Amino acid sequence: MMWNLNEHDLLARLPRSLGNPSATNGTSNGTPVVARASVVTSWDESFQKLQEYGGCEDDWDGQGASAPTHELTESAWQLIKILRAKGITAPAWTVPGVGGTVAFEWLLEEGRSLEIEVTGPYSADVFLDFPDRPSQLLEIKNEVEAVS
Amino acid sequence: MKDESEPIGLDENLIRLIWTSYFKLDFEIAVQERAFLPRNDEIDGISLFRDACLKSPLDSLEVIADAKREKYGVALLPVSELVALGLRIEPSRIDKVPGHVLLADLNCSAFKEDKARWQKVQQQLAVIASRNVVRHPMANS
Repeated sequence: MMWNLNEHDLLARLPRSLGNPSATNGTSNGTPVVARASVVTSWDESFQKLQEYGGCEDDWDGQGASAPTHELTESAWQLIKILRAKGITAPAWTVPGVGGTVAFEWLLEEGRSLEIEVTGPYSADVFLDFPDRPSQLLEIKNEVEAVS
Repeated sequence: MKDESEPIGLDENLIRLIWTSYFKLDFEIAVQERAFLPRNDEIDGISLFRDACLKSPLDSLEVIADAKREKYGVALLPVSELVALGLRIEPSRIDKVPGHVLLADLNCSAFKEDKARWQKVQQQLAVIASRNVVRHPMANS
């Protein structure tokens, strides 16, 4: 399986690293998207947190939270490797979900935010949040690699 | 202190225990909406406690194992604001801590059926909780 990031034009919705001279800002409906610099962390931190969550066991929060499966963590790892290679800005937060998921969140301009929640191997929910209108939920489903 | 068998009043506060990862300490809205995500087994709603049934909101931490207690923050949510959001509060007695209740509408099934809607509700809960944090977590993760 592999990530199908062409779906919903996800890469264009994410902020590009301003430190990468070869990268340009992404656009959303023609509007450039730029991460709020004050909350940008590093990809290294994101990888480190993901590694930490991969080592969690069930009930990691003492209230019965599910641990992410190895397959889910591995696919999340592959996802952020792709995003980093594409020049996307590191997420502001990398957090575990109590349902065994892992989420990455970016804060964008004008109070908008984008969250990718890896819900299964190579599958994710993408939340586009706007301050003045309902959130938009997009689903990314895994793509099976063609066997040659 | 109220007995947990007494009706829940609009003037009461409920307590939410919030895992350290769900705090954004540098922000005005310090609590993430993810702090109100139902677990896979929360079919009847997410857990809170009635402050009126405890000597201190921190007593609700008794429900957490000692080793993990310091990783929790504690926030209050006024019942009146939860009711204004259209959320039902149901008593759900447990042995460890008196005053346990459930936010019945915010359960794992409802969340999976309409994540976008519930994320907005969770954001509103996060704003309310952020105004009323009574303890920050002592350890980061």
